[in-house]
Amino acid sequence: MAGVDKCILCGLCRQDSSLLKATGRETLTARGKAILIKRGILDKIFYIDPLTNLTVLHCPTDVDISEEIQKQRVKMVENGIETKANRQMIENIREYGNPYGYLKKEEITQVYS
Amino acid sequence: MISWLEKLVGKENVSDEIIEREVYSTDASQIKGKTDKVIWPETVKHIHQIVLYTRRNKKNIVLRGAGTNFVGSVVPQNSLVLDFTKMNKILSFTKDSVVVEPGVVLDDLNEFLQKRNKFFPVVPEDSAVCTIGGMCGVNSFSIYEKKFGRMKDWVLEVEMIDGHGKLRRQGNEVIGFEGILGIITKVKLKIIDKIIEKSMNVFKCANIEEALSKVSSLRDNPECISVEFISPTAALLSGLEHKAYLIVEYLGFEGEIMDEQEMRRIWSIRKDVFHKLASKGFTLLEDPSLPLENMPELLYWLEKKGIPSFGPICSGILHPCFSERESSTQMYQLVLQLKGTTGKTSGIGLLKKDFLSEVSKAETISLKKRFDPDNILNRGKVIEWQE
Repeated sequence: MAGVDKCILCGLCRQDSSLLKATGRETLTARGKAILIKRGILDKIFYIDPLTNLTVLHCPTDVDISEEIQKQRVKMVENGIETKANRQMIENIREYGNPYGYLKKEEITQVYS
Repeated sequence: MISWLEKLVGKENVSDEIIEREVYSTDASQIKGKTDKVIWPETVKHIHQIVLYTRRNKKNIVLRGAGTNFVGSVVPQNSLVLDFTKMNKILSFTKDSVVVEPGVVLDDLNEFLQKRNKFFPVVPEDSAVCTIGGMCGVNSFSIYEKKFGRMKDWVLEVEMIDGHGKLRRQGNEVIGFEGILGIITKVKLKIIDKIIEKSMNVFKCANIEEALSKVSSLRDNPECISVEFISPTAALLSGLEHKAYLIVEYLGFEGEIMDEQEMRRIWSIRKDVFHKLASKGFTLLEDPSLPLENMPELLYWLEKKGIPSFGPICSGILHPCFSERESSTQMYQLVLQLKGTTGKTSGIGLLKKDFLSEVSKAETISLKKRFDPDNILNRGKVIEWQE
């Protein structure tokens, strides 16, 4: 697996992008994300990704875009760029041990005990 | 002015956000341009109004299919970028033809046709992503060019909006101008019956001479529909034996390999060659073309320098892959000496303008004067132009 610096912007990842099919937006493909990462742009768009990394199937240089997106999200959190939903999920995990928040800690313990 | 455009195409179909402008500022050439706005038109009316808007506001338009070309054909110059991904409908179908919008992806079209026992035989390497509009723009090359020719041979009619904003119906004479004459809104394509009887041979040749001698005999074989070459250097870097490979596909059963699955496996090995080369740093894909009799000199030069190459050799086209731009410039000096040229598979774009012949340049300028004298469409591509 390679880092985003190896992306040659060939666009072959378009065939694997369900987000492209649904929205028509190049920005949501692996190539789109690679361009933004290479140019150091931190944007909430990096939260709109399933991180399934199907794209790597047809990537000639084997770029692991999911890994790169995760790194980008870390940078974004460090820079205070979060979505409301993301912040809520983090709070729920800290408070209740799950991202939804409606289960009590004791219930979680019961489930996993 | 974005609100006027929003009213026209809908809020979700226009953007001037920085993330969109950055992503649409480049293509597979990696050249960086400047995007004004990105628009996703959905109808002919949208395109017509956008052209009139562009004229009123003294802006310019770049037309974008999949953005997979390596020559900067869709790099904007402070342009409105029209992304045709949403104009992807197959509009009508008969036993001889199909009418499609420009954003239809070729593999999607062929999937539709296969279910009806039909086939569109212009199949470039990137068929999984390339769009019909883009293929018309570059007069797309096909892996089956030897038998079926190129995109222009299969276009019956084009509906387009020119730089004046006028809706035109043209024949295939407007194919291959990389979007500098008009915006294609519909294309009528010829189709053929699905090819059922196919076979294949793989020749492993000890050296280039042996491979070229085989190519000479295959060239005159009418049943042979494609001959793909892999150079010894490319073969070695791709994990194959250090030999010159020829992958030959036939109509009918002349070839020894007839099993459909095995043929698919062999094609996937061939398609994987660029994948393997790119992962080893040979990422700059070029497309010199030259008379077959001059091919040996180019091949020896490439092999001597350790530059891998592959491609549809019977059509006089090779795809050498470089790790740095300087060597490719040297190669093109040799290609010119050998009466060769470039741009036959990936177009002229921004990078290959020097290779356009004087005749082609004069023809292009004459058409540009008719179709888009104010130069609002794909400005700076193919020719330098100022009225």
